Amino acid sequence: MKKFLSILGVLLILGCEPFVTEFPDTSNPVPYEATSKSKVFWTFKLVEVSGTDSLLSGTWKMAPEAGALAVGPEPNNGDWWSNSEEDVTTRACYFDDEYVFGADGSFQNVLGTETWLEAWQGVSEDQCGAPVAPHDGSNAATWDYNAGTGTVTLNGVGAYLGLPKENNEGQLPDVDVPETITYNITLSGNTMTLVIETGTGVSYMGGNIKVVTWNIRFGIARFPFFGDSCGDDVILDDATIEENMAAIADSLNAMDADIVLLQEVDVSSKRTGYMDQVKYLLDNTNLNYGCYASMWKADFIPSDGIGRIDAGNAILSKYELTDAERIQLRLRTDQDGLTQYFYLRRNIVKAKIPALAQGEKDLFAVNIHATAFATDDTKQQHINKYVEVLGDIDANGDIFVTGGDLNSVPPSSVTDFCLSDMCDGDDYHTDQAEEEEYHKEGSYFDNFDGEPDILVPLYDTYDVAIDTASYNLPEHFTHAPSTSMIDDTTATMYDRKLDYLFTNGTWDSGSGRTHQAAWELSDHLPVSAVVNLGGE
Amino acid sequence: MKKIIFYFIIASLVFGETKKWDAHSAYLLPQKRWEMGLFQPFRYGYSESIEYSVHPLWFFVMPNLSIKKSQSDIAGFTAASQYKIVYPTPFLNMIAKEGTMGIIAPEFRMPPMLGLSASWLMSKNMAGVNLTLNGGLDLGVTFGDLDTRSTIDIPLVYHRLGVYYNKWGIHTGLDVQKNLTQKFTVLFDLDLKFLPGLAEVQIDPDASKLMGEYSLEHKLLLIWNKSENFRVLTGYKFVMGEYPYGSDMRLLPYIPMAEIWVPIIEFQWARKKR
Repeated sequence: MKKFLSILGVLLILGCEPFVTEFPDTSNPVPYEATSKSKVFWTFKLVEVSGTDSLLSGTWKMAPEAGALAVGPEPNNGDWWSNSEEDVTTRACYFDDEYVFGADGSFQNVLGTETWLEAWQGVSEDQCGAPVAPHDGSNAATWDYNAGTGTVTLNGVGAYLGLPKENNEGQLPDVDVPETITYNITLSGNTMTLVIETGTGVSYMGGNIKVVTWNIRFGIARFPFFGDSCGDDVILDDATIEENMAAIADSLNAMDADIVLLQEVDVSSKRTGYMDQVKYLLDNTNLNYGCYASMWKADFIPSDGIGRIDAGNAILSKYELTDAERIQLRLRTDQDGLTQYFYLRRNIVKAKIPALAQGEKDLFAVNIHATAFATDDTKQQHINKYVEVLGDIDANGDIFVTGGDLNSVPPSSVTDFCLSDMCDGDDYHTDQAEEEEYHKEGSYFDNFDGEPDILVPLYDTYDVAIDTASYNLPEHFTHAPSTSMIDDTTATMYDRKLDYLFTNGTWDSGSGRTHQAAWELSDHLPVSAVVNLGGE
Repeated sequence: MKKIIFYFIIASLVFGETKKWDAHSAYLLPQKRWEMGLFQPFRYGYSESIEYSVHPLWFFVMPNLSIKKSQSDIAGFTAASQYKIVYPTPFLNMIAKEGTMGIIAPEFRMPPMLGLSASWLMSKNMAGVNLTLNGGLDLGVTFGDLDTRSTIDIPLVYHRLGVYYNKWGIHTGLDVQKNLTQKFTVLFDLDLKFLPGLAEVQIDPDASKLMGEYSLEHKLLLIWNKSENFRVLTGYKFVMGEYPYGSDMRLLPYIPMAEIWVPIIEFQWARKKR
């Protein structure tokens, strides 16, 4: 009979509709692009230095003033870069270049012995130098003005206005040298303003980069979710999710970050109406590229009505991401096998951002969400791995900007939040509680030797966005569980710091901010800082 | 115990629609004969023209009953009608809970619901092949608000329960069975379920998107008929359809821990009541 029951049990399990868990332990992050990426518009302002009564024919030069060259997401916009007055001097070899529109329809770039050369033209760094063919005026070319469409077209390989690399197909050397280039033109007196759209994405023109880290709690804001607060609800309605995500997108747009490190993002989960939140944020912010790595992915979690889940970490960026990598963190060892099987697979996501490379140094964005509830040494293992990953980048001579929800308090912080996080019916710090659970998981930060100082190696080695003098100040607290929202009139918005930004470069002094105004959008608050990358 | 019941109930969805001994054909069981399987309902030939069936383990948490009645032959086809009634509310509320085996989120209470189904079946033996065509109407009657977030979004289950959210649905299918030898039989079946207009029936448009108007289930089984009273079946079931999260397809059964597909193994018994 016993044997029969065993066989029957096996057969029952075989016949069971699978609660398939697709462990993403070895999978690479999923790449994303915004449906409609930012467009790149260059604007060139030229002045006529000698001419005829004819509309265009004559000799033109770049206007010797700040903003004569500008690039941004819209025409006549220099949000991403524009030349300074100083550039007019340092690039005098360029500002004296002539654009000659012949009355007979001919066109010529007259550059003299020197013009401004960029790295793509074969020089080690941007500098004055002898013009490089075919952008040296050596080829015959013509011009054609169309008043109806407000455009001027140059015909001839190598003929250009403003900058030789910018054309209708994109940017050299990524595209072939075109035979024709068409510019939108506006004429006013002796001034010509040209606009050309050179593709999608954002052109990095040097300068500092703003980085944000934010655990967005899968867009449920302060919803009393059963898993991390005293609530007992699991599934939020679609309309509220969309409303929350729209507010998060607005907040990211207001911060105008170049790189965003997100934790707890859902891409296909029942609890959040199967919204692809990575896609949503890319389509509703000025960020263009993303990569996503699952932390929790299963066709069906047979517990608490969670059902299908795909949640994880994401890196979003204005600039293209490459070489994305998902680095698995150790699983908790304080769980039984079955629970561990269905539990989170925490990870680090790392991606290269080629556009932000500084000379030979690549720039990497690294995003982590460390364990929250482990009571063993899992958190130490996660931080150790994080330190190792960052150390490897540093040892290679590359640059990283990194951050995330480390689920660890800063050195010298309060480490025990059991009582303030306690839910109705809970019992901690009593003899009775000791029999089961003396401390509340996730609310106590001294589970093993060294946990209170677990972040010291990071603080000691790298530059931190919120410095050691400030990290325990209330204005830099980033988290309070939604427990505090049980009573609408008494809310603890934030009472500890768990979210961090580090770099092996240098944060712009005083640029580190904790955006506490966003406290209603998640149980974690975004932290931002500006990293100095040198350049222009 | 609850877990075992749950496993059995879900499992029977995979195995519960085998045909022979002609469970899904227009042929009725001989009078006083009963048949049952591990995952098959208990069927009983009440008379030469009426057959009852019930899922015995389901019955205590999801009361159900099916009656098949023979009809006049049509164009050389044996015809029968089948009527089913099921009351799923107790079972669904049992799995709307916190913790392990909480399949539905605990914040949802399922209202009283009745599932009604009427089918027409036509069978014919053609050149040694038993062919059965079936089609019918499903009704889901709910006595209270049913939150669209309470769906169970997994193959086999979603479209069966979808009728309660959509209020109605239709189903059609084809079974083909051929004896390879005296002892071995092969069964091929195809079932389509439609929930027309599912995406437009939102009671609360803010709650959650209802999507997934169809599912297709296909099964291929090799059957070893040891005797008139015992047989063993093995094969696979393939499911594809639309779900709230998109289109999906699956080969079943599947072992979660090992993450592999394994063949169906089913035992069926039959006897004649004296």
